[in-house]
Amino acid sequence: MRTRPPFIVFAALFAARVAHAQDLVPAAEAAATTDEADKILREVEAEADTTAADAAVDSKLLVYGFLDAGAQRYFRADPQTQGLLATQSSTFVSGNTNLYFDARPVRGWRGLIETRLSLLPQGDYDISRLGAVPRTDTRKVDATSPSGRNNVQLGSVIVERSQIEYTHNDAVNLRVGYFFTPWGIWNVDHGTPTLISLMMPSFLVQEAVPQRQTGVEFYGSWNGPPWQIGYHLYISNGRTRTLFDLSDDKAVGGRLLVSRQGRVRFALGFSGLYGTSSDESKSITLDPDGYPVINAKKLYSFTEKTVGADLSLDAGGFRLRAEVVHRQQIYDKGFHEPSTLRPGGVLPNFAGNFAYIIGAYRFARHYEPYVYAEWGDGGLRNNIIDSGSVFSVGLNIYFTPYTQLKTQYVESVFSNFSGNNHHLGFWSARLVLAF
Amino acid sequence: MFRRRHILLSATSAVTSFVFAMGGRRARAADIDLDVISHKATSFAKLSRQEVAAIFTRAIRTWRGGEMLRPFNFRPGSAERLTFDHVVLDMDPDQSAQFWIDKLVRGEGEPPRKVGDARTMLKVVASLPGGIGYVPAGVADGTVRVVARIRKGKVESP
Repeated sequence: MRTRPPFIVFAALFAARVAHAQDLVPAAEAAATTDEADKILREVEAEADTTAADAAVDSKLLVYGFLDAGAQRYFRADPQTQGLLATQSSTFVSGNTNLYFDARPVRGWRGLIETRLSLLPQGDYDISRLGAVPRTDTRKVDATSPSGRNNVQLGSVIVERSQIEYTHNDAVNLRVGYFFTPWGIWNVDHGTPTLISLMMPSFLVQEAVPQRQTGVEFYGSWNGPPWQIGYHLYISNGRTRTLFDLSDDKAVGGRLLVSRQGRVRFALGFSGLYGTSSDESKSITLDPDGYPVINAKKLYSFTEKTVGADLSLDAGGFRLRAEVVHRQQIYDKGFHEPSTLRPGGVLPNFAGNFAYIIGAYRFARHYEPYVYAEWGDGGLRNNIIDSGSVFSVGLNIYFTPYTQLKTQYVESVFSNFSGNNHHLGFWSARLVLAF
Repeated sequence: MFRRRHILLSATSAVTSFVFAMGGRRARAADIDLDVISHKATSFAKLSRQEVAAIFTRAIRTWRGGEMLRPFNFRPGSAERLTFDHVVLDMDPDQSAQFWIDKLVRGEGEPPRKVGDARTMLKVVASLPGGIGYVPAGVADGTVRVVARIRKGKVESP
């Protein structure tokens, strides 16, 4: 996963010749050994130094990541469902291009930034409200080009996480910043090289749990090999539509995990989140004296309570992953959220339940077929896609640990945006590279 | 119809050929004897297989909440690494690589540093507080402490 120097190919080509030469000159080999030991010693000793000056000289930054690209196609979409899809034709897609910047400038401290380079929001349809559906176009004329008139397509940088970590010992660690919510299996694994399935479960798509939060997290573990008990406790802004909290109420959450390492690996986790969320609009008016006044109006506010449990099991080539989530959203009286699909209406208090299970078996080193089943009910009866079930099969082909081809076919049934059940098939494939 | 079937068969054949061409052969764990060594000032005199495994998978980073541990590995593909991964971690080279890819994707940290030979391993482990590594049997000297032995595919107390 490290970045490799460009001369690695040449180094590989001449490796045998170099090794042979070293056999002939043991003194040169000894010198190289001493050099390597000294280099490692210098690097590790630099990490142990605690002065900022030393850290500035010897700071270490690792860059690694993954990317995926492939093709996909929807099948058997009825006329109403077709409108939800960007396209139901077969299409190639550029998926994730995630880069990690992992810095450890001084002992015990770490900065981790994970970014996703994306071509979004080009071509994005906004289907969140009634009326004409606008589509985003980010193409611009590059006036700085020597030709002066060619088009370029703007992209974006999605910050997946940006966090500072301090390690006191295994049991006490601190994380501050914008971090993945420590919830279950999927939200922690989150990357295509690590996940079994391509399709994300509904509880994350429908944000029953915020995928990321801004705040402070304590985490750690106690080890009695092969057993481990881990915990996460955090206080955060919770679910927000801005980069800051609009109230003094903070969300609190946590996760407790019991796991076992070894030939049969096993983990059982429980997660919870309690928080409030609100939104407001602002308008500028003029007072009687003609001075501008900024007015804030509270649009809605609610309390959410979410709990979940997860199980993962690895035994030989077999992998099992399962999660269940229950969520309640209770609005404050008089501050129910406006409905996007029923003008003048508001959303009721509601409760949602979600569950999925994946079973995969890897054989002959390269092949991992899997089955995926999911059921979800968001509990909100006027959303576009609120409840339904999914059955899916897939095949992951591992060329090497760093490269794999992931394929999946999904058969889904969902209801509620017109009162009828809707069936939709979806096939996707991604070539994945970790580096 | 013929064309579609022909394309499908060709694609399947190409993918299968590509898999075996790119994948290479699975490396087999060489069966050699090793000594697990630590810096002489570490507070433990011996380690079980499960404790060594937890240290080298970074599940344990500090010993009993105190000293920071610094594990060192041999490079992938070396006889020492193949044996160690097989006997201690119960992993083949692919599983070991996948394990660390998963750790990095999750943001859980990097693998132990790698060294190229036994002399380098001895030097870094002897020099760095919290250092822990492994060398072929008989190579360890008085500069390090032997905390476990790997003999005939099993981990034994020193």
